[in-house]
Amino acid sequence: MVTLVTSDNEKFTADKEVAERSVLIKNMLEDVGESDQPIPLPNVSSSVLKKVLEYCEHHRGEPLPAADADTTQDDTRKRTTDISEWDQKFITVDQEMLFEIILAANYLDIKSLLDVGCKTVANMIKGKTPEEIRKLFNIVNDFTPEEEAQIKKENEWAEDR
Amino acid sequence: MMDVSLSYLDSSLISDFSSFSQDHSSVCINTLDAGSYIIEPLPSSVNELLNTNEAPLHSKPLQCSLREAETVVSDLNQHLAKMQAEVAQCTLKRDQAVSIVQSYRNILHPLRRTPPEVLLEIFSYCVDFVDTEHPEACQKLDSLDTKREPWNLGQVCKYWRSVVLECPRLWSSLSLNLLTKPPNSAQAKKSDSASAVVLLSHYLRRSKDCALTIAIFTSQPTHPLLSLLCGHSNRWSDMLLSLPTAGFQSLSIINGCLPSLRALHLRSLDSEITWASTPVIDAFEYAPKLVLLRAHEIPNITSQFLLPWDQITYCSNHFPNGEVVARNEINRSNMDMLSKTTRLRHATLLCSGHGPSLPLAPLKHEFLTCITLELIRRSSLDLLDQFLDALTLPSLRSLRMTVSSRHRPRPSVQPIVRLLERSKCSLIKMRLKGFETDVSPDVAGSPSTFRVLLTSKAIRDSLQVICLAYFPNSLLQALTVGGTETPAPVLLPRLKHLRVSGACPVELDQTLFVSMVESRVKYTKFGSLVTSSQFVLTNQEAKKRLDELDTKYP
Repeated sequence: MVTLVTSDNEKFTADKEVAERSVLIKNMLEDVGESDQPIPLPNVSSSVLKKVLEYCEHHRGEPLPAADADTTQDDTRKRTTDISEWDQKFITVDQEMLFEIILAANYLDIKSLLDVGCKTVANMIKGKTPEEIRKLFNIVNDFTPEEEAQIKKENEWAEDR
Repeated sequence: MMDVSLSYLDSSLISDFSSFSQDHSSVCINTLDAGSYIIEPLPSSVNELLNTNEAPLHSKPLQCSLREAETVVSDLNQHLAKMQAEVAQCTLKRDQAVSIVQSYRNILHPLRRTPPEVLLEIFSYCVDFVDTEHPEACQKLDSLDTKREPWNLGQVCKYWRSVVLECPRLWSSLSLNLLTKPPNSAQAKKSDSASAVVLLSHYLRRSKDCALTIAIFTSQPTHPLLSLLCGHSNRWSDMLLSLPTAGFQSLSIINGCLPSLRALHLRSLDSEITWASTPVIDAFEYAPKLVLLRAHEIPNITSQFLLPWDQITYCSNHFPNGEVVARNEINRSNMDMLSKTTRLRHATLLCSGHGPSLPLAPLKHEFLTCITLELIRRSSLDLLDQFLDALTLPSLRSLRMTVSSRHRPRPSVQPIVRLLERSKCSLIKMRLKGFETDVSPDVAGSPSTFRVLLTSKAIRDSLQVICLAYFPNSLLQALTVGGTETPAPVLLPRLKHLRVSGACPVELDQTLFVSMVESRVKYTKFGSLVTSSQFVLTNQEAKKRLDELDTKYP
């Protein structure tokens, strides 16, 4: 078993196999060797770690992406945004939690969870206008008048085609 | 706590009503907090009067009670008004606090902490990357539409724009469908092209030095956008060109400027007659990385195009739009292609035509591992036989062959048997569509050709995947694994995956089919049964058994 300590000082214990779905934790365990020392995760809160561990537990035993996998290889290929039924249910959380999970997955280096989160956000964004996206995520339009003019031009050229 | 100083009314109210308060069983209503009114129900004597039309004999105490009750109502109204004012004030403060909470939440929203590499990952799922394997899907994309990704992502805020504009990968894939209706006036056409050129220039500039995947569809021999793309031919990696013959000719300028080109998809918009008078196209003569070639409606491609044939490992040649005269030469054209592509591993070819074919010289291809052949409708079966009889493919591992389902009787697999025997290969995958698959012996008692194929050396001990559309009873029985005496399958003992293509034929014995699958599934080396979406069993009992199999052996 591995003990993990969250940013709000809560302790979680998890099977090594489950915790090691995080490349960060796996590397840390390899570095410290056999030890009962708890692993601090200062960038992850307890509520988020609970979700992350739920994901890792469900996907326990599934093959992990190769460490040296060339992530740029399929960059320009058509990428599917399909999400499995369980993952979809798992990731149905409020917007803040969704992004917290993404950030945690990125920090803990759990590629499959990061993908699920990114695909979910991408599905929320796709086909929306910039204004709709701003409204969705409470983003402030902070463009300078010059940048606004440049964007306006882009759209005018597209209209004129 | 509310400051209510009306309690003095309690006693007077109760005392005044005391003479009527005989039925105390009713529940008191405490409308306010402790020390406030207790409103009791009307005395029974008053209730009785309410049920008649008579005037009360003693109206004085009743009038007194009425006044007191009116005073209470008035007092409570005042109290309510005060409370409502307080509720309104409280609501206002609550709304202000909610707004403050929301402001803090907005500021602390994890999206603001999302690093560029994660944002980029999200964006890369938003962008419709061009997939040149699916030209119809490419045609629906318009990479110069600024309402779509990646353009719109760069119009949200400064941070997103910086991420989008600094990521060439998001701009490395584009599709331009210029086959739409041309503008009315020449002036409009010129101005439209100018706008499109500006947009495409932006797009290409944002792609920096990234390798490009492009699909372009135009009926014009020259187009400003195509010319602009030619200026970046050194970055073409995967290119789909849907052009008229003159359009291909105009690409001569890129000859020798294709150092990154790996995949080339050539789609002709002209008829074969036009091709007959077209000079040889040399645009792709030097492309040191070119390994994949897909041709679509291009007759005699080996004569029409100068290509680095000896590099190509994947090649396909399609003619889906019907038959024309020159296709009598397709067999020879295909043979020319196979003889030139000495490193070819995968070939998808059309074999078709009418009338006598030109004679073919035998060809032994050392490396071809996967061949897909399709005989298009109303073509002569002799042409397929002729093509197969001319080939020897010692490395062949996967064979996919389709003939039109209209052929009756179904063609024999005899030429395939001959090909495999001659090639001395070991097939791992085989997909046959339209052929006779009956394994019953003929009238003279000789084994059927399909049984000969399945028991041939090239298949017997190696075939792991088979895909068929037609399962006569004799085949189902032969594929069924016997009882305990013969636990291993006699036919195709190494079969792991059984695939069924097409709809469920009416003549299929569904019960026998499921029994065969059950017997195979129980055999440990078997992996899976995959059926097409149209394959639906109508026999409910058989369907239930098959569904149960899915549960037991997922």
